[in-house]
Amino acid sequence: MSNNSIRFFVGLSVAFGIASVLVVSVVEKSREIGILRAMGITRGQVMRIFLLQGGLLGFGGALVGSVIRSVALTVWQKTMRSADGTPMFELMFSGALFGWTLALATMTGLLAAFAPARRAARLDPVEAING
Amino acid sequence: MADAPSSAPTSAGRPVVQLANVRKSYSVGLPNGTEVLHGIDLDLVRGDFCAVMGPSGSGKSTLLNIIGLLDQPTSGTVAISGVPTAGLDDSALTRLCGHNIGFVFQYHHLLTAFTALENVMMPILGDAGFPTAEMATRASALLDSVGLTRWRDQPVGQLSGGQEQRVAVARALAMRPALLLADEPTGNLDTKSADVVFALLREVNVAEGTTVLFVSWQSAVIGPST
Repeated sequence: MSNNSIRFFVGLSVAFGIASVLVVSVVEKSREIGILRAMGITRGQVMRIFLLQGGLLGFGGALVGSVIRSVALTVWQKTMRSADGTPMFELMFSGALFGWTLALATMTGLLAAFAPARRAARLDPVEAING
Repeated sequence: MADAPSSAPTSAGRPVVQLANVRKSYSVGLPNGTEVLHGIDLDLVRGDFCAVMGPSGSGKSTLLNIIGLLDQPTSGTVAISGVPTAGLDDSALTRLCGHNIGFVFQYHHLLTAFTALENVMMPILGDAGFPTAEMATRASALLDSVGLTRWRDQPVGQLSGGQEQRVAVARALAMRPALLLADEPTGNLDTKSADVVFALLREVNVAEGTTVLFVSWQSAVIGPST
């Protein structure tokens, strides 16, 4: 399996993960959404709340993942040595790769959040408030 | 609600609510539907305090939801603050609702993850034109007016039922609405707390000139309407 295939399926599973978290969130918070709508919050504003949540989940997940990866690789490189005491591999930290990862994960989060956000925005306020 | 009588304006003034021949039918699971509102005509002007009474299932909340622009009538016309709602898109309806109508529900429906102050600020946050610096000041002043100065930074989950409902009243007044709709706001409260909340609605009506439309099945909690 090529690296691109692995990336694709990892991205897909991340998207499904974020979408499922947000679908549950919409269901759990439907009453609050109804209340906000009754207070004059527009459908667009409701949608933006959930899109923002999806984007932040993607961004935050990528940020935490990148930090954990960097720490783990550094520890491994310092711990695992060749027989002659030299590092088994060179560590290369690419700022561009880090930036692309954050951007791609944020975009994935936004896309994954679109369907749950639209569902939240379309909730009928009366039904949502009455549960 | 069987052919509810019209409520004539009690004082001359700016129209806040105008309903003409409003009907509402529900057709869920029924071949011909059930009509719960049979041609309601209602005119309320600024400063009116109006009570709608009737047994459960008589359509009181449906009427309130239609006036509050949360629901659409099957037929008839609705105008809020002189603006006819027919033909308005969702954004326009939401803006009209946000700037003219405050809601108090039977259950306070506060956001429990937030403090009293943050809950009162919620409607203001949705208004892009409101100066950010004044949001907390306004919300704080409203909490002062309902006697909750000490509790402004408390999570609402730590407040009593009566205090929660007073926060809900403050939240409903955040946008200085012309119309305050209250759907059984004392239904979940003990007598003492209910009296406090009811007095608060009266005070808002008298001091601010806010039109109050109050729904209850309990005749005991409603004093003489003006």
